[in-house]
Amino acid sequence: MEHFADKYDLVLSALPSAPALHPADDELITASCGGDQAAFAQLFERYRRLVTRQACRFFHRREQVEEIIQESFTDAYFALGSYQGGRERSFAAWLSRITVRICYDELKRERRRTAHFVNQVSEEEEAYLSARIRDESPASRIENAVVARDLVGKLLARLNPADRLVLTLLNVEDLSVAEIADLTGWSASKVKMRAHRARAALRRALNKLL
Amino acid sequence: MWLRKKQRVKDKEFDRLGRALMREAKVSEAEMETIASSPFPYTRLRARIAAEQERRAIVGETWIGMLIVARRAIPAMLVFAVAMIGLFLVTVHRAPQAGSLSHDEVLASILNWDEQGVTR
Repeated sequence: MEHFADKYDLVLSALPSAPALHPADDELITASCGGDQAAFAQLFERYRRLVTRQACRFFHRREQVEEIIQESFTDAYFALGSYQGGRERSFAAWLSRITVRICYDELKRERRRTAHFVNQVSEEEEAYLSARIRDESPASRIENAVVARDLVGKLLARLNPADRLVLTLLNVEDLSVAEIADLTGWSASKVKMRAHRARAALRRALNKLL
Repeated sequence: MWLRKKQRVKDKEFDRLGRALMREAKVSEAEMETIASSPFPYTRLRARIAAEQERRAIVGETWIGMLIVARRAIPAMLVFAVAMIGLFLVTVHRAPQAGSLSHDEVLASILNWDEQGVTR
């Protein structure tokens, strides 16, 4: 199985403006721990796209994503001393774990904020959903993405934050159960159980709409 | 059996639909790039880190203050407690020697009164 850290290293290297990894992350982290702000700025530049990519999987509003980026790097800054380093625990994987935890916290906060009102689906969204069931190709990609985003937001709002997290990592990030367990710190059986519940909840939500 | 099979097919269909919707709702690479390259992100991050450092320092100061108070208060309370225990012990041990009567002495004197009454 491809190791999780390798997967994120691949994602990182595939990014258009990925800088050459010199100096090495471990050197920059040591310098940052010693109070070198330029070293931390370099780490930020190197990994902000990775964090943005992960935050965008869970949230679609720009301000929310920016907030996640800021919170993730702030947490990482104060936790740098506890970073173990080495190939098995690359900085990308370590930072990803922090980002996923921050996203999970934000999902929980969002759930508390919007717990009292579950939005109704608009006519436009209903029409879009019917077209998707008939497997019709979307007329305008951008317009459909906007409708899909609103619809998915409303559907996922009915799910428990943990279920939502697992389902997003499975369906959008295409991660395996073992990789999600590594990323969240949960056991594989818990991830499987969450995935099962999340799929059932999403089915129920879709069934109500159709 | 047939119903269960039908339900399974329906579930698969809903799973496929859910997955397709989630993928379609994904933020595009261009949008991601726009967010990632927003202006002055590091300046804002530094400001946030500084604010967090300040907050942690205040929390730390509060703890240090409490520790200093505790460092003085705990020995003082200990000395006070020892003094009170000592005082209590002294009072208990001295009480019979201070001229007051013990239970046996009280009993003996009552018996004496009774004997005196009989002889009269």
